[in-house]
Amino acid sequence: MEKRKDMRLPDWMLKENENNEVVLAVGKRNKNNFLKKSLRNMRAVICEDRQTEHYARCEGVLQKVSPQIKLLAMLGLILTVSLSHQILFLLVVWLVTLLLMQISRLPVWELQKKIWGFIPLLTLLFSLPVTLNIFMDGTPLFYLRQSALAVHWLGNTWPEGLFITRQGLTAAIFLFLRVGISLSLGILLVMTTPVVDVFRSLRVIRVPELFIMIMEMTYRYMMVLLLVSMEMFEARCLRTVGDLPMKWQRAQAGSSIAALFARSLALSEEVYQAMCARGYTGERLKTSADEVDELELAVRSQWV
Amino acid sequence: MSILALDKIDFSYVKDEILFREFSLNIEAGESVCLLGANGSGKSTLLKIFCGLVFPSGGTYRAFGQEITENLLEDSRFAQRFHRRIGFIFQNSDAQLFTSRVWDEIAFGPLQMGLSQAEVKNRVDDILALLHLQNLAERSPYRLSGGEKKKVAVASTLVLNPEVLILDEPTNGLDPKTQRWLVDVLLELNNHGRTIITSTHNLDLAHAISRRALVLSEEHRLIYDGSCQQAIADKQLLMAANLIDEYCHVHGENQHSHLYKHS
Repeated sequence: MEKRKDMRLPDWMLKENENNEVVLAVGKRNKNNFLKKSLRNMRAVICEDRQTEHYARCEGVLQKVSPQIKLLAMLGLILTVSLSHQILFLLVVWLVTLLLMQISRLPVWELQKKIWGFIPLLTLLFSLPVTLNIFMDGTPLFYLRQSALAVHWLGNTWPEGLFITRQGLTAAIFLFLRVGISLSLGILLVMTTPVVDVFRSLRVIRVPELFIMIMEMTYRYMMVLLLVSMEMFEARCLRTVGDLPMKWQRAQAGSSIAALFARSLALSEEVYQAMCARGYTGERLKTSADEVDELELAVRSQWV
Repeated sequence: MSILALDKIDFSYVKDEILFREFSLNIEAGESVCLLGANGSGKSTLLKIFCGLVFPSGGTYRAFGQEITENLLEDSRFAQRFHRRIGFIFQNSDAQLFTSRVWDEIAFGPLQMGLSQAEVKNRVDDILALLHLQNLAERSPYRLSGGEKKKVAVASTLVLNPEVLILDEPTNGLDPKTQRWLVDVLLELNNHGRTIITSTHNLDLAHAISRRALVLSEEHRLIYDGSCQQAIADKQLLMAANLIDEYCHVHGENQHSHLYKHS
């Protein structure tokens, strides 16, 4: 194709930039670079979302069960686990969750690391003081400090010895197991059910339609906003070709936040307009698929 | 000489769903290459690999003779030099613009390159004149029209004077005049030795700007690497890549079908 005659590139574009040669990696490796760290985290969230959706559509056993049945079963089990005072029962439920993960083609070991590695462990850490006799009196199990006399300090009378009580330790272990197993059950539901179906199944426990719709939209909007922010960060990263003075960096950060805010406002406006254009009046209409699901539940409940 | 080379790379976003398996590709310096493929064929991902935004899990990616890894791009000095040499224009211009003034947007790159204030001003003014954007210099980027945003996005990348220019679906949402303008800019840059890589499913654009075409199948495999003209003439190939389709419709009382292409 012929080019236009009035197109003339400026002189600096006709030669290569100075100092363009690839430098060997001699600079400072900065794993905490804000831009790259944010990009990595955003990408991880999006990949995790895709991965969850991938597992939810696998040909596993739990994937074939109706979302409503799964939701009711999981809620029932979580309630039972929370009320149970038998460690054996809790361990059996945990083993059942492992079995369900296996037959639902979920990565059992990877999930166990995620489930038990943070929230239950943190709960255990916070509940450790309860195991001491100064907070909950009980039968001594291990003595941490023994003293013949009670100590008066800060206006309190502290007991003769400092020890871990059997009752306190049992309470902490129960809390740890209950949190971990409840989390396992929640993850089983989320990872074997497409997210849309999880929201839709909330109707079965009489969660208001409007509330479900807001949750669905929030989730969708969050993912869209995450993608937009990720692209913005990628663009910024690609055009970070040198060091900016701190003053400029601050100005650019402020600009980016303002631009993202303006974009999210425009996006929410467009989403609302698109809803209105399709006849939205503030109430969501049920689809025929929803009717079928509720019918299915009714039939199954009868059968059970 | 290969300026960008992928050697048997593997890539996936989701475990168990491999996007590219043992994918190899070489881009020579000064080439104008067009990446053709239907939606979801992996064009954008391939471009992001070239830019060092995502990284293959296996195989090697070499740019300017050096192997590019995630670890290497953690080195800020290396990453800065690397990004100076490869410019990327996003499909969504909105994502690329993040400042509150067009002039600042274009000056963002040159300000970091160690140029004097006068040189930065000179570069920005040159680019504004080249792309006829002078009257938009003080405007806010997110208040511009789609075509204007695209022009500003192109300007903010061109001002870095990259050796390789990568464009993801550059004509999406552009009116014919702006499309023609973009083609002119790309031809001119290519004539001056810049390597241009364009991803598109617009066959007219591919024909206008590229001599070499790479066609990706919907299964993310490279099914053609050769002359752009021949690729566009090969209806079987374009059908296989879902770039054209048979379209059946009625004229008066006659029903007939013909090939339909996206543009």
